[in-house]
Amino acid sequence: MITLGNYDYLWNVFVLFIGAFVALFVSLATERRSVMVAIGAVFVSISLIITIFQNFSFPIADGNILLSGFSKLFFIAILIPGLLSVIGMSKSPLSKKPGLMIFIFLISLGFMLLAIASYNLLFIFVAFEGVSIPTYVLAAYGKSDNELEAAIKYFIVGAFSTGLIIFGISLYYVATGTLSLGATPSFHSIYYLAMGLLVFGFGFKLAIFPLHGWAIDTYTGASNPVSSYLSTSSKIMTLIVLLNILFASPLFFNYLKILFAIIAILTMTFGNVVAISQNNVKRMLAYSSIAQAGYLSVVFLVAGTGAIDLAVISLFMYALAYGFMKAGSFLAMDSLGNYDIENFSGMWKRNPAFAVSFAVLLLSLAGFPGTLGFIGKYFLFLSVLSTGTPLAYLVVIISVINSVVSFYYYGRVIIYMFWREGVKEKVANNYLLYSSAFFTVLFGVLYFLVFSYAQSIFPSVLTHFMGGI
Amino acid sequence: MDLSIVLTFLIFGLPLIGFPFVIGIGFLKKNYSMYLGTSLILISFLITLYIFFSYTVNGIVIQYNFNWLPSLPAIIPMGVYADNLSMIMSLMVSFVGFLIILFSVGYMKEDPNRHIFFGEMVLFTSSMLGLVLSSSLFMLFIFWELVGLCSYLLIGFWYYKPNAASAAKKAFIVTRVGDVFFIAGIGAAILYSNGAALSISGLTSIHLAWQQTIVALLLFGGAIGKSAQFPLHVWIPDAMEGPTTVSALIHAATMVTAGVYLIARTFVLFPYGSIQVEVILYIGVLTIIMSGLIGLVVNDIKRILAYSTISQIGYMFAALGLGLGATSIGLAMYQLEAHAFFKALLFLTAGSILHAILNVRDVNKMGGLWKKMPITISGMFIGVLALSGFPGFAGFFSKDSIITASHNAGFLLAWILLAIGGFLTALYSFRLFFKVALGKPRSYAAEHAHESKWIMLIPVVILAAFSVIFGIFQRGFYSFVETGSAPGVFGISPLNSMDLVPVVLMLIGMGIAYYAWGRPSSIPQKVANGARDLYLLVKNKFYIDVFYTNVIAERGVLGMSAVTDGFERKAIGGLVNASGRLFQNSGKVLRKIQTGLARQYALIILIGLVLALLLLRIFMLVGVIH
Repeated sequence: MITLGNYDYLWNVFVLFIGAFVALFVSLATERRSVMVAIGAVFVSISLIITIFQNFSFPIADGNILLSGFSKLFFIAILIPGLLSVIGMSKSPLSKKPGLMIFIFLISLGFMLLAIASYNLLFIFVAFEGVSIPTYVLAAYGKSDNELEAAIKYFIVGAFSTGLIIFGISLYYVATGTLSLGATPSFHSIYYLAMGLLVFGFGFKLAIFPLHGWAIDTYTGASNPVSSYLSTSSKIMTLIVLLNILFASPLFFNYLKILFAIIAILTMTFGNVVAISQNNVKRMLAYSSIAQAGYLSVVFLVAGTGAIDLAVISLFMYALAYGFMKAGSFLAMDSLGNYDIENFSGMWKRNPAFAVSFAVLLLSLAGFPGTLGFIGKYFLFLSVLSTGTPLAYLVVIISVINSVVSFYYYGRVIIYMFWREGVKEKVANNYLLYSSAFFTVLFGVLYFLVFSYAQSIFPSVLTHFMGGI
Repeated sequence: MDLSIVLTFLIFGLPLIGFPFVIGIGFLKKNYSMYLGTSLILISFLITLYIFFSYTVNGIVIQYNFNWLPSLPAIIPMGVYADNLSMIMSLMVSFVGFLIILFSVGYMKEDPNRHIFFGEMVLFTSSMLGLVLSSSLFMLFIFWELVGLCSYLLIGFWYYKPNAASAAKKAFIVTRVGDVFFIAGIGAAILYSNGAALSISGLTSIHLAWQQTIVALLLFGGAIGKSAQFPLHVWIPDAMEGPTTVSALIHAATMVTAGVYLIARTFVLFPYGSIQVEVILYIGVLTIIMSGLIGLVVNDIKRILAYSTISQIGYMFAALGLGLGATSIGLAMYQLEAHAFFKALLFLTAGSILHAILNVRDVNKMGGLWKKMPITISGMFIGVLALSGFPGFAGFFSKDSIITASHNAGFLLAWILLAIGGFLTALYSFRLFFKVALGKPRSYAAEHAHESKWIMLIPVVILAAFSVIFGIFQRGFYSFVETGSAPGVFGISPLNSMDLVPVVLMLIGMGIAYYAWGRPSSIPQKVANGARDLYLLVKNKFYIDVFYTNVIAERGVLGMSAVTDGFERKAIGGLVNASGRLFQNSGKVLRKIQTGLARQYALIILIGLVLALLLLRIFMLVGVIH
């Protein structure tokens, strides 16, 4: 075994990079998609296994990368939907060069893990770009007009955001004199300017309002595994990066919280309200990801309070749920040629397993008790409420109202699937969908196991954000 | 976790996880779900047996709790508590459940929906076992509701029959009345014990007598609903519309005795001489007499058994109502188990008969079946002897002990009434038996009856054997159950002359039954004509059903629901529709900003950024709320 000093602890990342090159070399010999997808799936699984069994508790690269239980939890939350998406690539009508596709995919996944473990803005930026550039290419895969349009919009907005990030980083340096997170600023107004720019620059991948525009078109236009990947792994990564930046910030606690409350409320309300008027299910799912990003952003309200431990564990559970729900439902689209809601009618007769599993995922997205989606939301809102501020109450109440509203458009699909007749055409089995639905319910019922697992890995969050382990 | 704890969870967890598979596998081939369901219950039974003999018998109480909602400051325990009381109960439930589900393999063989039937039976058995093994009142309540749900589903299994559908609803609604009391009782218990009573063992921290009385009576309200005692007994006779195996399992052996188990489990709240035990005693006694009388005039074979069930459960409550601490629990639980065996036996033989004579349920259309179905009817004979308390059979040891105990404890009135109840029991049970077994066949179907298949006879024979030999376990059973419970107030005294009274009364009842129904006779008709008013009163079930339907439901509930319905439609419905329109319309407007032009998206971002930075700047200048 090669030892890399402290870098030994990054084997779960290296495995992904190694896998990327293996895929590239094998593609010289064969271009069979099943082989390539198998390589991708195997290396992601290895990385997942390493992550689960490795004990993370080391700062490496002079403290610029922090590996802790916190990173471990969200490595898992990113790798699981990544695994689902890569397996989904075996089905989707993607282009003729699967070797390259898997290469790009694994590279971006590796950088995602690095991004959430980084504790230095420059590291974060490099890793973040290491995610962005491959995903621009992934979004274009397929090369039909739809995918190209999706990729171009993603790229333009992404490039724009990169500018904001760089500007934010330079102002951060001006304000604090360092690029390391958690530094105390000497110039407060510049510091806040930098923070605002960073939130907007990084936040575009999270697709929070008003940075959501590209997301709708890209999620709708890109092929299903890519949409699934962009709306799950990539989003969770961005959320954790923002969490790292903002929770570590000593001056974050007051004003930025109000800003985030406003953003969260606008995001979830916008996503839900517009999703109501969609007739294309994939587009509806895209809007629902916007709404979900709003729920996820609620977590920023716990910064600097005692609720942070519970909040991070809840966020893990919600991220896990979100990964299963969104990856499963986007990948389910692969079984259908046409995403119009009419095309879902009579699903119960056409393929009962599909209908039930998809209904489970939709209910979980809406937050129906008994599913992991409910549990995640419940604990997240509970942790926010336990901060006890009026702002927290306001945001949670609006979130709950939004959840109620979301039942309308999720329920509409369920009604079409079970109580409308019409289309007779058979629907192929989609085992990714079935397993996502299964885990959503299994973990939803046995949530206390997930909870105590997360708790056992990570007893205290505060030290992590203080730059310790 | 210890192996024993895992196994204890598996007792009810295995069938609970397995029941969707039982239904699911039925879509491949229906018979598979019968085999899978039967084996799941068998495994459950074997695990119970293992736990019972390697832990419980050695005095080891298995206990494990986990925290249900880790996010809340209060600890809500969920887990298992397997002591002598709960293990003896779950042993019975899984054993009788297994035998009945085995019988169902033959009985439901031709039903097109049998995979669903078996799935529901498995779900029921697992919920019942979960109820028994629960360590907290909350968990108990969850399973309590689950068995209620299964009862509803299984009574209405033949939902296309209007009677079955309405019987299912009736059962659900009537037991719901009891459940309201139960949940109020849980609330009161938690309140008075400062949260300790979330687990059952925490009930001891309710100290004040009046608090105990309130909690106890509320819990008893739940027990009345589930165990069909006066005044909430009306649902059981109608529940007989379900398949007979369902009646045997749910409405005779297990679920209806859940109320008794609940009271036994929470018996710390029922000290000797308190108001609550008096209430239990006299409700029990009243139920025994009332349902015994009705059982005499009903002609539907299953309804006779249903009224007999109500009356026998009355004995269990009467035993608890004596308030003798562990002695009471022993008496009641022994009656519960003995009753489970002989009543399951009677129901299974009745099911076997109905299977043979094309579901004609009127006893007047049977007769002479002993010759046609010798094994089944012999089983029924044993069941009837056990039920009426013929010396040497299970019912003699269980029931007569309760009657004797009431005498020894000095409840004279109760003793007299309980003894009369024993007399009525003998009367109606032998009336049933003689009408079915003796004489000539009184219908075409009865003439062409034939013996059932072996798979239906095996459970009958096993249950018959238990009904005969169960008596030998009496002393051991008492001391076993009493271990770990509060010490008894009175021991069981040695036999004295007064103990013979119930036996004599039972023999007299048997004789009268033979005289009136064992041979062609006009005596019953004459008695009915002679005491016309009394006969009509009993025949109409004391007008309790009529009262509920005509007065409470139609006058009270319907009127109230008309008012709330109007409010709901006009006020709430209007509000909901209006907010729905609001969201829909704003969705239509807001989607317009999604133009599909990337330069506009960038512009929106920029505007947002500027606004956000301005906002931050303003906050810094003004220094707003934190």
